[in-house]
Amino acid sequence: MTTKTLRLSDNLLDAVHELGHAEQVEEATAMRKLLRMGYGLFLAEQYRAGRLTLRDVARRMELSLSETLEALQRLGITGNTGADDTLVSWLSLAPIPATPKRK
Amino acid sequence: MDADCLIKLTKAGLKEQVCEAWKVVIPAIVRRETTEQAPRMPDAARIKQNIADGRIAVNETRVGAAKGEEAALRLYQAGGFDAVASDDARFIRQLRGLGVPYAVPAVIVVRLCRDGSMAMDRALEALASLRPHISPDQHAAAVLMISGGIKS
Repeated sequence: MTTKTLRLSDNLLDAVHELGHAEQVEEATAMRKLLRMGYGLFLAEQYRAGRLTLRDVARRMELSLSETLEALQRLGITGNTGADDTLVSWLSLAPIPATPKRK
Repeated sequence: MDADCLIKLTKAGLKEQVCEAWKVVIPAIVRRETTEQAPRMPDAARIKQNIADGRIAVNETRVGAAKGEEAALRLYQAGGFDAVASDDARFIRQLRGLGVPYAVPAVIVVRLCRDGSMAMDRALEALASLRPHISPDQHAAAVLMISGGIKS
């Protein structure tokens, strides 16, 4: 662990106290938890915007791909493709012969 | 198929039906990402079993790719495949740029329905199972496609 000194606004400090009080943990632990949660949200937003792949997020969260999908779901992100991607996907498949490949 | 799509189809309980209708091939790196790197997850066990049963084919060719998406693309480019299956926006942008046909999970269901491999009510159920794993936009577009709102 590395020691860092930072200046907190009053409302952020209130947030640290609130979490510390709610979870009965010391200030430093509350700050680490808030940072971790904030980083998770940041990664989820990056994934949602298509700036990071699932693997990129998994590596940063130190989780498997499957666990990362579940973590993203808990943060309200269920995928990052749009209706446009779906329509283009359908149109890109259209030239394929109607009979699907069967084993 | 890349790991993202494979895991989502597995979590939605649709993988078997997809593998029944289509020949699904994954690069070796995707097998590692979905099974060996997630040994505690139930979907990893199911994928492992499907590979052992021969429902999912693993292409062991060394394509020199460090990522599953890269490997899936190189496999497609080697020839013999109709499309790349993925649900990752960043990878899909790349596929669109290259003009590579691709299938997102919900479109796989639509295709099964249109091909007659899956009845419409079953396809709508399948989309409902996929719903927690795909974007709301993808789900809505697929429902429209199945119900005839979007024609091919």
